[in-house]
Amino acid sequence: MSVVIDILLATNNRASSHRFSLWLFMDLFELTCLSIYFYFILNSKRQRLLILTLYCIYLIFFVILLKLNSDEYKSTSNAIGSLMVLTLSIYYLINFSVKSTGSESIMSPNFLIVVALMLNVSSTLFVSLISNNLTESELSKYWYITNIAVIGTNILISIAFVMQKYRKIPSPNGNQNVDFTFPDDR
Amino acid sequence: MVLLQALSSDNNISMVLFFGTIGMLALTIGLIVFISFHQRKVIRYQQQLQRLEQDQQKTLLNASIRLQEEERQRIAADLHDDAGPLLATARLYLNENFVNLDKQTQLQSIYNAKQIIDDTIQLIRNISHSLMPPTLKNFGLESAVNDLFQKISGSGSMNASSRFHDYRERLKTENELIIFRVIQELINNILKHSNASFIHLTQNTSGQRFFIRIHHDGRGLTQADFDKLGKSNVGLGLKNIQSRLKVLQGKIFFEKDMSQTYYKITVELSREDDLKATG
Repeated sequence: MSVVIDILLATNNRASSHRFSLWLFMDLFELTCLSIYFYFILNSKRQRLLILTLYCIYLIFFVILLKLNSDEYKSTSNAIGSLMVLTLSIYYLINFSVKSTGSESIMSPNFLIVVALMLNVSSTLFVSLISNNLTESELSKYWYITNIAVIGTNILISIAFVMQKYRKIPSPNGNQNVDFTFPDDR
Repeated sequence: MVLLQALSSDNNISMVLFFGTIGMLALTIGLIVFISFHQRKVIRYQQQLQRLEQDQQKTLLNASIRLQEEERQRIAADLHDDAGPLLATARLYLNENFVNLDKQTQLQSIYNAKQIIDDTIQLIRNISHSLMPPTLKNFGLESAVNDLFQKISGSGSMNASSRFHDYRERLKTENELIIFRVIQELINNILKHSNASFIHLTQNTSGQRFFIRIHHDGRGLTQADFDKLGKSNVGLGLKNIQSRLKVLQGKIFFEKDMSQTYYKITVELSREDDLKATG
């Protein structure tokens, strides 16, 4: 989605002139995906209600920001989204540590993805918060923080996906190799 | 506001961004590290608990196997030492020379052999009753306990009484047998070790819970003693009680009563399993 928007911005003049609105929609898309992800990894009703509530609050802010129709990039939506992701990540980690049964290890893909999101959000939160008060040239000066955070996050998420692919499902007990059809076993 | 004031110069922006981002990252990394360590600690604790539980299960299983073996040995000894010689004697009366004897001696031999066979039947009946008391099977726990207590009182050494307050519906036969065995074991311990002059058993129910309480005036156990014996290699009977109660998901408490004069033993069981079976 990010690549599609970047290509659109580079090739289409009309899109380029509305790039801040497009970024806003990109933020919405990102947060929707993350909300769905958290909805699946947090199982209890209360947790899911929290996700829906936070998402509704975000939507309200999104509509307000969209109606402002400013030519400048409003990073407020991004900052609110970051805070929401941070809240859900902390909630997941607390839940993880309280309900830990040993079956879900800290080396599980979900844990790694949440850690990646937390690191990304915590490193870009201050850039998002102050970028409303920066000019475009000033913004580009500090944008490298976001780039580094995104690269780091993508590396961690890639590791998580690789881990998920090669994850070994533990066998319930060690006698899987016993041939029960052997006549003497009957 | 503080943030906006800090944005007044370029240098300040860099400072706020640098410290803010580093601070946030440090907090996040700190939280992740804390949760990782906490999780490891929790897992270690759970594994320790699991190990302890397995050890406990192993001890109970060993106790149960040993008791079963002892029971088998007792039955084997009863059959070999009592029934065996009795039947051999009966056979002697009815040997090959039997037909050559005079009529009077033949009748005497038959009579003697009949007496011995009757004794053997009685002996086998006793062994059978010790394995599954007929009163328990036919009339339920209340009658079996009353029967047992009457026998104890009948011996004259101790006053034993029981009262069932709420036993309108019988439990499942196998559950009744387990409870009866637990009561038998407890009474046996009291008879052997406590030097009590009376035992009183009461039964009651509260909701889904079924209670058996035994009071006696002798030397008894406290919960601490029971826990200590449960962990040691002695106290086979107590371990047997524990393993039997585990089947019924029951609990047992050893304590002194309110007056601090008598010892009381409370067996608490859930009736859910029974209700499921009958419902």
